[in-house]
Amino acid sequence: MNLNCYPCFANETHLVYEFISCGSKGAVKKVVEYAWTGLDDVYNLAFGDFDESTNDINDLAITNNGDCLKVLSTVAWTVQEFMFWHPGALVFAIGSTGSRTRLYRIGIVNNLAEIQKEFVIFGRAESGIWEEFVVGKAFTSFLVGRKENKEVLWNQLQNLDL
Amino acid sequence: MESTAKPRFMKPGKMPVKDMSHLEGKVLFPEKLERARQILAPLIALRERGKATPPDSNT
Repeated sequence: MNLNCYPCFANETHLVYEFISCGSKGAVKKVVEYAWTGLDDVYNLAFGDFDESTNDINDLAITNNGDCLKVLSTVAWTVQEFMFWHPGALVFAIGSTGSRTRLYRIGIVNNLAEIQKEFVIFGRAESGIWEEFVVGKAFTSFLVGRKENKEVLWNQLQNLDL
Repeated sequence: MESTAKPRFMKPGKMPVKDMSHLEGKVLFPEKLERARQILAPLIALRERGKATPPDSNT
């Protein structure tokens, strides 16, 4: 088991994942979802806190559990796992708030070396233009795909009507 | 203090599976999915155009 990630479980379709964040505020169940966007191979990544007493999910919760990097690493691990079971997929991610999107960027940067072994990441700038992810640049959303699909995806992103 | 060590993931495909039927059959984050669809709409349109365009008969 990777010591920098929490133990994590997948559902049978490998579209939903859950793990327990353990930090200064106690144990918080986290749920990661890959939801089909309606576009043939593009899935939306979202994650948040799961309240077992109400069966509610909150993607705006600020847990402040002191384990942000470990949570983000665990989410990154689910990306790798999801892509193993859905090899042709693209994963889209956007934060529920600007600060949450910045958190995603931190998560990508912190896991970039591991992610880039197999995947390519594109970022959408505030102008709406997509470009390959670079450290230090602000992006409003992200798209992750397998390296071998990079050229096809890049050609499509360059030809978008914006 | 939280560790900043770079993670190394375990081999993909090895994550344990468990029953999550309580989370299935619904979109868990519908607002984020809707936002994703709005942002991806140009990409969806581009791909739909590509599917609808017949191949060039001269090639």
